[in-house]
Amino acid sequence: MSEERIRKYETIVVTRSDADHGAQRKLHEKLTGLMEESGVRPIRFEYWGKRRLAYQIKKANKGLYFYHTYLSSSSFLAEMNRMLKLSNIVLRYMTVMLKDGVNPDTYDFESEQHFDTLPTESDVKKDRDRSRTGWDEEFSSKPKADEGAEAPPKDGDAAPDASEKPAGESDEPGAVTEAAEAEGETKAQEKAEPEAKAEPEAKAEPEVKTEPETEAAAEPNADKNAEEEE
Amino acid sequence: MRRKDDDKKKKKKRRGPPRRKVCSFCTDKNAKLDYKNPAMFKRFVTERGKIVPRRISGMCAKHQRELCRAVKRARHLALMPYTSAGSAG
Repeated sequence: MSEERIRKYETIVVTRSDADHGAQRKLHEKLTGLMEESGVRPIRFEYWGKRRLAYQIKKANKGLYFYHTYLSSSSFLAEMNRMLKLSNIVLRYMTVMLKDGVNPDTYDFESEQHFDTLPTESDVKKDRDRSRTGWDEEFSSKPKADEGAEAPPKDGDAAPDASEKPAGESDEPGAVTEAAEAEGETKAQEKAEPEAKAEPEAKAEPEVKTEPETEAAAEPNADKNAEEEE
Repeated sequence: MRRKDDDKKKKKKRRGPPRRKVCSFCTDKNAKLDYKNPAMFKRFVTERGKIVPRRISGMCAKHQRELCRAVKRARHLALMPYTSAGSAG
């Protein structure tokens, strides 16, 4: 185990939202238990809440999203994948390598460390506001810290690179939910109505808003062209 | 739906050389293509969820590859539809 190469991974697990809460908890404990056994160093765990799936999976329309970041060797992944595959409540899972060849002794855990607590049963039931998929949310163009440094085009081509990236990336899911909440606040009244009605309205407005940006970018040039011709 | 109508209105005859497109991810270094935030690349995907070719979007090759990867990952996790032929979203 210690001989193997340590990498930084992130895993997203999507489970059935209508599954028994006990089963959710059990799965989570099993996963964290397995992590502990295999000497995985957890960095981050986020509960993204109940989200509407972009398409139906195994007759399910909504799923609970769990996000893990950790340092481990590849042998752990095989075990974890087997476990997730066998579970009945898991709809989807995906692991992405963020960084290769990490030294766990020198790794700066503290800057990213964050552990959400598992939601209680009533939390999950209440959690209706986040029914949108990430797809529905508006692009939040907030500048993210620690990302500007990465400029030369050589770097990013093949492998996920430098330490800036993981830090920035792990911030982003938070940004997604923030955006959703911000929207939620402004459109609280609409949301008070049944979701199905409220959402198309909420969606339609931002879509229109995005267009002026592209137009605005386009117009100055168009004007220039016109002037040149004259 | 709305977008289509707007496009029709926008259509004007343009003379002169076509505008050079610039990859928006090259100009904005802070923007990172991240599959966890699919709302971010909404502009590079059609309403039906198809990836817009770079001859139209003006993306550079590097970022088009990244986009492609990100979209496919997001689709797998149901953060984004493979296709939305039937329903609107």
